[in-house]
Amino acid sequence: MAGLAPDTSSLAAARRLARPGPWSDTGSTDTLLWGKCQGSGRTPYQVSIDLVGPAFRCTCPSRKFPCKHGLALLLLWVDGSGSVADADEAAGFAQEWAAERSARAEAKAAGEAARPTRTPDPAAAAKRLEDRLALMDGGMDDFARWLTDLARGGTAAARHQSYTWWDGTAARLVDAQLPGLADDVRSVGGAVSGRPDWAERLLVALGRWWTATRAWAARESLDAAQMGDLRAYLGWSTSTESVRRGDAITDHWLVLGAHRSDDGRLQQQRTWLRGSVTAETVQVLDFAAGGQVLPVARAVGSTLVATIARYPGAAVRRALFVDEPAPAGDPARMPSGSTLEHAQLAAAQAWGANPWARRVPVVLADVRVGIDRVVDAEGASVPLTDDALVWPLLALTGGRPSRVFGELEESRLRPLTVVVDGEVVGL
Amino acid sequence: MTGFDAWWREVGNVALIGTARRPVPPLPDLGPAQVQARAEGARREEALLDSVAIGAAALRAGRRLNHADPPAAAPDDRRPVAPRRAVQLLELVIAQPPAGAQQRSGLLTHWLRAADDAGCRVPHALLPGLLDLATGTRELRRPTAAVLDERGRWLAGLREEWSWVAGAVAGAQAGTASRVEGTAPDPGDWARLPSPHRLAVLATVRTHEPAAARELVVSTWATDSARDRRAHLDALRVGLGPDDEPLLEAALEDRAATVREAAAELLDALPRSARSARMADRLRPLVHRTGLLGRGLEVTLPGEPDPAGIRDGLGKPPPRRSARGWWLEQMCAGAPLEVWSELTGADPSATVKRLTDAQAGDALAGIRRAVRARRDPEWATALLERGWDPALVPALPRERRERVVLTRVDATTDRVHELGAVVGAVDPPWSPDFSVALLSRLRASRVGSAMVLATMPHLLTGLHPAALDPLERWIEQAGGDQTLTTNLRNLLQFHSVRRSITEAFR
Repeated sequence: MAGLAPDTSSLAAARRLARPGPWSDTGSTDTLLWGKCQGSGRTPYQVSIDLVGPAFRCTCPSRKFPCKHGLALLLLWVDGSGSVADADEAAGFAQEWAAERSARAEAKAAGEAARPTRTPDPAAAAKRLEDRLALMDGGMDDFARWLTDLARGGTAAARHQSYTWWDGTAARLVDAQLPGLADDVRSVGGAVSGRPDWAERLLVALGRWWTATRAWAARESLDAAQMGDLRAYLGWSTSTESVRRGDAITDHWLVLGAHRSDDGRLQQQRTWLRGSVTAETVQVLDFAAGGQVLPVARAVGSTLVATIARYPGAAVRRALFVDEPAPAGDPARMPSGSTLEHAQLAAAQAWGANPWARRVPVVLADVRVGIDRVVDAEGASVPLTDDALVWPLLALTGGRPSRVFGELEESRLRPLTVVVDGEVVGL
Repeated sequence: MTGFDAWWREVGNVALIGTARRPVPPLPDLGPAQVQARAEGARREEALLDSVAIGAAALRAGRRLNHADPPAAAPDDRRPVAPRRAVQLLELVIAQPPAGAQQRSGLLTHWLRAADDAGCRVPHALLPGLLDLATGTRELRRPTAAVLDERGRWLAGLREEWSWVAGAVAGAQAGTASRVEGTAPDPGDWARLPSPHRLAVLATVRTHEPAAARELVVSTWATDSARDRRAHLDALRVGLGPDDEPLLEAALEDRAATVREAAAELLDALPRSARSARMADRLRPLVHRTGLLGRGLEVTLPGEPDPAGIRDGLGKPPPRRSARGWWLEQMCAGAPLEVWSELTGADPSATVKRLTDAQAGDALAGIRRAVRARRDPEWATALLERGWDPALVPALPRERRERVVLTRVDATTDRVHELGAVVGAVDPPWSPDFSVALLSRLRASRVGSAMVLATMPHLLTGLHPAALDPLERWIEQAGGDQTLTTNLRNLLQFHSVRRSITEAFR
């Protein structure tokens, strides 16, 4: 039992929960154990345990696995005082889960057995695609209607809506398989109530959302690259296999810089690479959720020999490593960089090609770093993002003109890398 | 304001109150982009959303950059950066302190001092991490300030949390100046510094140029507050000498009692002073030899002091002390120790043995203070024969000091809690012999684990590298005692990193 717990605090928490009080609808069969546990929220958490695995599922948001509810239910059942009754048939949610699990296991086994000669069933795939598109069409129509309603009533009225209003819209987008758009709506909805510049932010967001609905309506006329960028924004993921099949560039890639973020739910790592022959800059994204760990970051300033494949898109391309990259051992050749004005122009071009790109990578020549901004040789200046690592940057540059690589995000710069005395240093 | 700006503002207004209440302005001329309104016409709210989408894209693409003056740059550094190996060690100590986080300050202080002695600075990349650590740990501030150089001081000046650097730098710079260039700060500059900074400057100057430090104190004496005067006298404790007597003698008449007390206490350490002679004169009539052979000793309590006596420190006793007993103690603490040989005709050891009457306690308390202040080895030995007092140990020459402490360690094994104070009586760094001998005693003891724990802070600061080999052998054979093994391992780690740091700066 203790061996299953992810840590001692989970086990201690489970012991406290392992009493009949918070539990309802409990039951067990030979292979399944289930129950509902009243947590802090209104709806009780649904807990299912496959006793064969054992495998756990719980609807609670905990990142621990198994969570305290699963452990507690197991303890309650092992205790054997009759609070978990035997049943002939599992509760609905547990049965569904068990069915999903066994289907997945079968599919996996079948997939492994059939892999060498696997031929997808084109008819079934076409049907799935058609279903998905219908769902997304419906979601987009619904969203466009929501936007026109908002425009008619005014953003000032929308500001007085509670967060659940935004969240409900986002939830409908998720149901319509538009999770990327849903995340954007949630994040803007959260900012609207608290920020002094909410009106401008919401206005710009309305433009972005409306553009998405119009682009979706006209998707027949988009080329593959434009469609790729739109898909990435809407959250319609492209399978890595199809990316691998579609594209391959072998080059020496300089690791320009990297950024890690953690929103509590998801950790993200963004690594910018620049090909020495192709002179193309791409980003490789890694994600980790739950207890997962991000892959080790690539050393900034090193050069890798690798074949990469790019996701379909027009500008600020995402890529993945086709094979494990090997260190190239070349000296780092950081591009010489440009003025802020040129960087801004390049960014405008990228945004012209891909209006969904959140950020554009730029190398700036001879910029001086201050506490909240950078200033280039021509005196042009751009403020830094709130999360910029300003103290290491100031320590390294000492206010002298330096080459800086970073991400231009709206009108702000997030510096990621600096060249000091010819050495490329990641922040 | 351009046509675009006016149009965008109106679009914002319409969005705010809604298209139900206000018409949407027509699209302006967007130049070469040639953007046109929908040909088929659109509903009002669609026209607004079209405008918002176009306007936001145009704004993002055509954003004008602000202009600003470049921030001030840091001056050039004066020192070379620390050697590569030393930098690696500093990174290690900051990021993953060997021997545990508690020992980090000790290792950092060692690194910073070694860097300062070698005339090096901290590499730029490590400045923020080091400044953060020194902000949280006060004892790191002075040594950190010494090796920041221009870049570090410039950086610290930009952030409120690091504002302590300015003061710490003043002390460190004065120290470097008086040590390297032999120049004390100008009295005018000194007078303008805030009190804590002045103390820092004073402390460093005093270690290198005692006379210059005293002159600084004298230069502002008349205008300083009582608290500052007291603090400045305390700073003179280091490097105290006969030249300081006139200042101290004058301070006996200070307005503030705390200053008078400090001056009297410092004069206790100067047995050739006029005050010391006056105390001897007061003490002589009180000490009598008794018995047929004159081998007994009787001390009588003094009477009410005259105004001169009060000026010399025979004032109000501390709480719960008899006034006359206190005066006796003060006289014994102030008079030269030779006065006892003169009165008893015996050596210190015999004199201490003969002090047995009712007044012996007060007299011995005074003698003990005199011995401590003057670091008199002969009297210290005599007093230690009578009873253990770790405060007397520093008065002995190093070899005798270490021997006395080892003997005491042998006698203290059953009172482990006292062991820390016993071992702490030998100031670091310890000699190779003492280090090895102490370690073998700890190892031989049945309660070695507890003894290591009790003496850990001293083992960390004192142990000589010569003891590291025996320490390694002990770890290999320590067996199942996890706490002991961990402590010994930390100790070994600490000292080997320390040694590496020293070597990295050679």
